[in-house]
Amino acid sequence: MKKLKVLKLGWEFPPLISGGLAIACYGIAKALAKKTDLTIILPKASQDSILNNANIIGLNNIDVEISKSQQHSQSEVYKKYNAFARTLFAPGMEDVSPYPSEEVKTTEGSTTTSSHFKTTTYSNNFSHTETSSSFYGRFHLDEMYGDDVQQKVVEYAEYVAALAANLEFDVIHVHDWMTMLAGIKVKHQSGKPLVIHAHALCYDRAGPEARGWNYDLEKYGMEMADAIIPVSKYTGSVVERHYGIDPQKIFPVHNGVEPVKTFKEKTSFPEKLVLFLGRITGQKGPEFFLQVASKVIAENDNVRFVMAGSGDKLKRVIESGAYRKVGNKFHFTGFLNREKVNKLLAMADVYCMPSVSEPFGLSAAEAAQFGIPCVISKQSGAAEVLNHALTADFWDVELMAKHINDLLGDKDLRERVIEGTFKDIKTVTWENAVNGIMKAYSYVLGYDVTGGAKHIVADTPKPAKPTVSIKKKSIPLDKIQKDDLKIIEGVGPKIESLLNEGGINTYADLSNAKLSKLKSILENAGSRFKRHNPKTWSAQAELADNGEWAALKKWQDELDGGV
Amino acid sequence: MKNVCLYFNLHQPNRLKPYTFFEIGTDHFYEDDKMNKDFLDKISADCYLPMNALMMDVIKNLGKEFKFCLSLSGTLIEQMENHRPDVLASFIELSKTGQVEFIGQTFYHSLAYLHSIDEFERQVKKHTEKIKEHFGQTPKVFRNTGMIYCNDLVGRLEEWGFKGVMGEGLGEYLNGRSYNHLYAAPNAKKIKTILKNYKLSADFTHRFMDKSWNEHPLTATKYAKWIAEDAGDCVNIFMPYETFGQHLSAESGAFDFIKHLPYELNKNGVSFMTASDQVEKIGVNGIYDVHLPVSWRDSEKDLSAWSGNNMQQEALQKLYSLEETVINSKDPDLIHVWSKLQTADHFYYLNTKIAEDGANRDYLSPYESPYSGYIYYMNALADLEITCKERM
Repeated sequence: MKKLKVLKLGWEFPPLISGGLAIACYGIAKALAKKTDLTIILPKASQDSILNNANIIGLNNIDVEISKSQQHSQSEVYKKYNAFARTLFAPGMEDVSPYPSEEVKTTEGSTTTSSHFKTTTYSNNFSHTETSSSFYGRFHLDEMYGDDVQQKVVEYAEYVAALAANLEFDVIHVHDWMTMLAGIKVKHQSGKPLVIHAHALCYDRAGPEARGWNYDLEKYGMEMADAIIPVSKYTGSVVERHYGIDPQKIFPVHNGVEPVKTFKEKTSFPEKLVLFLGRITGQKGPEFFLQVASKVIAENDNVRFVMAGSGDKLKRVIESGAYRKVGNKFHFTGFLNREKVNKLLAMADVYCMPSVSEPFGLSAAEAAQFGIPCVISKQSGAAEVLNHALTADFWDVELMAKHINDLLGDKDLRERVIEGTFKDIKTVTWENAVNGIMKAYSYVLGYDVTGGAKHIVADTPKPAKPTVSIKKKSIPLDKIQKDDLKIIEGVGPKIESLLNEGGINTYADLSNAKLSKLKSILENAGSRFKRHNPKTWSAQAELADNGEWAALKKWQDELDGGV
Repeated sequence: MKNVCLYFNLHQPNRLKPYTFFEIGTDHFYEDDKMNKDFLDKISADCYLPMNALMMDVIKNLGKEFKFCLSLSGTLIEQMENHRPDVLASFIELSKTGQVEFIGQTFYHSLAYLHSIDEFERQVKKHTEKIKEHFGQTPKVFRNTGMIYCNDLVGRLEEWGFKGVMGEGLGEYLNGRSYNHLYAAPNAKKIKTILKNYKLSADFTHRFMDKSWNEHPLTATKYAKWIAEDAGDCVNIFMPYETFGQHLSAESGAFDFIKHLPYELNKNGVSFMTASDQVEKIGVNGIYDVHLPVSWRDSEKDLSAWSGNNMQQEALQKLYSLEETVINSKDPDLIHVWSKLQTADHFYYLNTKIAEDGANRDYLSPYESPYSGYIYYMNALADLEITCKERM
């Protein structure tokens, strides 16, 4: 059988590591390369980014020809795409690294005040320029998550699309929001199915109320994708419920866990040790850990707690610890290097991960390998993998404290948890992960590429829908029956849905709509919409319908609120 | 009658090293010996030695007419014993002139008065012994750490034989009366209260460098005149000795100022008094009634610089909760280690208040932030706790 050709778009990849994403992408790529014909496009690659059997392309190493003339022919892609490309910097973008490194450099809470609500207009070098011909260049990325990351994400998409035009592949596989725009462009350009691997979402980083560019991009990307591979069922449920994505196309696949070298070290104090390891940010639930610790310390004199890591909540947790009068039993280490982290893992008697939202939670899996019994929150992927770990809802301080006390006091339970989780970990391999990924590929391709492999995670059987998938590919883009009306200056998501309810779904519909009809739609929706003036909407929509983007943009720049 | 009392306090803490979690249970020495020695060397070169020489000169020139007061903390004396006997010797030289009065305080420059009266008493007595040992005097007048003062304190000091106690002259307790008089606590039998003239003291310590001050530049001539003209029995100018060379650098002209001041005062007919002279010669002008402890620190003049936030309170509470075990151990080393952790500076470094003199505070703290200071302090305390547990 001919090998499946996979085009993988990545952001981080070893040796360029910002956090755990690089490790995860490498693990996936390594195992995937054994089963498929794999090409990986990265913003940056070095000579060390070598993987057997895979073709790794670093955009920093090659000149790519970006032809502007071809872009108008696929202008549909630009409608939504352009909305993202134009609006840079939005709330919820302060901490965008998917698996941020735990090694923050100071013991002090880092300040995350950069670029709140800063709105700038990015003058896209590639699209909407009057002059045609082509551009020949090389992609530069100084910092993986620098201040210009959104601009870089847009640029990356342009370069990847140009490059992919000359590549042959069956499926596009992208990782997280940085690569989603590129994936969407390549999908439209090639007609090949798009698979999005979701390692961490805006929801995890910034909480359920976070909205803005980042969230919108993720939602749009996942809507456009043919399949989503979240790294846990937990994240899958976030994708479904929080982003409103069709559960049929969600295929949770757990990351593999590489075996780590473990050792044991005796603590230099008589008390037992409970460990928290991670960034001290809201997502990781440090305040809950402190509350759990206060409860345990109140009942048990023979225990210490240590919180290793740094983050914006550090100062607050230190003060709370003093307030709760556990300062002599609850310790902070601040920044720790890998060696010190391993030392802590070697010393700890219980590992506690009370994360509020944790897509996977590799550190819990590492702790399990170190033979530490784990108490982890149910809101984590790790809880699905470590079946023998003790779990509780992140807010259930009572239960977490009880688990810790039980593990410290009950030797049999302790042994059972350690042995059980140790076995749990053994099944969590990248090979298994790739089996799950192949299942998602089969779904989007419409034919089985798994080779009969069983996948252990996605236990809810999903009906293969080959017809849908094939049909999808054959639908020309210009026949999509719904346009993004938000491209019209003055129309937001709410008004768009009002228009849709009023039977206006496309630019053509809007350009033909009478002003009186638009006004009555707005008036019927209540007083908050009355003040919107729709008088230019039809004319704007006409330009959009005709693909006259440059003219529309020029006009919109002069408009204020669509008036 | 024109009188002035110049009083200088001197102190160095035993600063802790960045004592991390990994040290707990393995390393029982918490102090940064090198840093403390470096600080002592620097302050000796910048302040103690040049000031001692300067004051010695004045004594030689003005003879019996010139006298002043010093209060050295026990921790500073110990540091000099261990690292700089030459500097200690220069203080002893000064004491031999008979023109310097040594004022009592807590040995460890601690907040013991607020947390354990037993410990406070032990430290006051230990300090008295130390002063006797080196300077051949028994302190008659007491000043508490941070000028922390209240009626109860005065009563206890009187029981232990003190004749006088220093405090900050606070308007809300003076009720329009001048700080240039002696007062009595309502519960005092004979012991007298000497109040700092904060206006004139701060004119030098806080405004000497202030170019926006309409009296800038402040000269010794002008300052001596102000002191001579200030009504009352005696003007008490209190300041840290380290003002010279540390808070005010040599380039600021502070040394020139203090060098000329005694002569200028002399010219203006102002007599020098020690604290004990005042207690002996001046009668009380009324009651100075302070029920709850006040201090000379910050604009609040309360205890918030040392115990205003949760970290400070937690550190203090956990430290003093070890008292019984430590003292009962009768182990002088353990007692010494615990006692040195009582030095007020350890808690002052954990201050998170934003004060007018915030920059000054940052300069004096050896830690990156109050939070780091707290982490190191609590780790060290955890280790000490383990040691205590083993002794029980």
